[in-house]
Amino acid sequence: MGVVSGNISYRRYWVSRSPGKADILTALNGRRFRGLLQDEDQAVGWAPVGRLIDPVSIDFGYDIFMASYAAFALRRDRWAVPASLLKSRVDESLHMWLLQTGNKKIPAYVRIEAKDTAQALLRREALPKPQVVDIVWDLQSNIVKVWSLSKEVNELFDALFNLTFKDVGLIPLTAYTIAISNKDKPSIDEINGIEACSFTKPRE
Amino acid sequence: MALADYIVSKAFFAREFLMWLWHKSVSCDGVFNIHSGVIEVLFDDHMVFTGFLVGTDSTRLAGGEPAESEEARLAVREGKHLTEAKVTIVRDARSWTVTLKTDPFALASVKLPAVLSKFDDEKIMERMYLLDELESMIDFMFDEYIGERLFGDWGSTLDEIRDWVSN
Repeated sequence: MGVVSGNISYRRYWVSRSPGKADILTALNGRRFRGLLQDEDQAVGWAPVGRLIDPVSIDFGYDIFMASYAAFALRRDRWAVPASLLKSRVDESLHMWLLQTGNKKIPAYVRIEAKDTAQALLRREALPKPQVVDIVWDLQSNIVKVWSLSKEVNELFDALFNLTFKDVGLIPLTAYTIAISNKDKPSIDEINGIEACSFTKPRE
Repeated sequence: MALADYIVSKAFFAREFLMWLWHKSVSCDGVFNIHSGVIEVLFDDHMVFTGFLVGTDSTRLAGGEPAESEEARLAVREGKHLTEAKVTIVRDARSWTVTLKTDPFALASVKLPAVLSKFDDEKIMERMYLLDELESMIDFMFDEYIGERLFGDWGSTLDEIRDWVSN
């Protein structure tokens, strides 16, 4: 959601250069979303915009480019195992272990094993929970928009983007980076010297 | 100091900018001259003031015209910072509504002027053009604030804002 319709809340980033279209496609395909496996906690990768079902079967093509923009999505899938159900399965299994062994205390390794087994069993019955965040990269202005304000999602984007495009230098557009953009060195030095002020009258 | 350190230590630019914008909007009836003409900037029905001291609550004002209210200026007098405001920007009979957030500096809940395209590709491009237009207006005003901070008479501006807040 976001690029085509719906709520628009986003953060902006700046890159020092935008690679050619062919290089972008190669890089995106190299880190394409490949689906979530049973033994993984999460799977992260790039996916086409608006293709929630079966995103793994196609490669990125030139249709992601529109005018100066490249539109794609960050996708993260996680297993949606309800915590209460997991706890109840683990409790049941630990109860059985106590009955079978006659012990009064449960060692830590048994607890861990019980949790892993319960998680594996429940994952077989569960569907992955997808999270999709649209990305638009303006190759002319070198601005990348990420359709999420979540700190966690933005950190995930930052990490994957830097892995995918190793030499483009992703910088978040913050008040400071906007302030210094297109400024000469003396102006930047002056900006660096600005101190915060108070909008309340000082007490006399 | 590294860039990351400056990003953190100068995060107050966004809060100051929003405060400057609010005062300017009230004192100039919302009329701004920007590079490509005249725009109107109107503070809407949502403002959030955050106290950064331990034990200070936030003040959330919703409905009506909080920008004109005594409560809003009282929040500033209490030492709180304007950290979020819903703003409508009008240009050439088209209007954008956006919630400007300061921590981090971001645009949220943006409502664009009506998009006319029907197909997804065209829709994406039209929405991007409209967003770019909004960003260029906001960035221009932000640059004006930084310019005033650097080369203008910031002392006078600050006195004006302080008088307005305290009255």
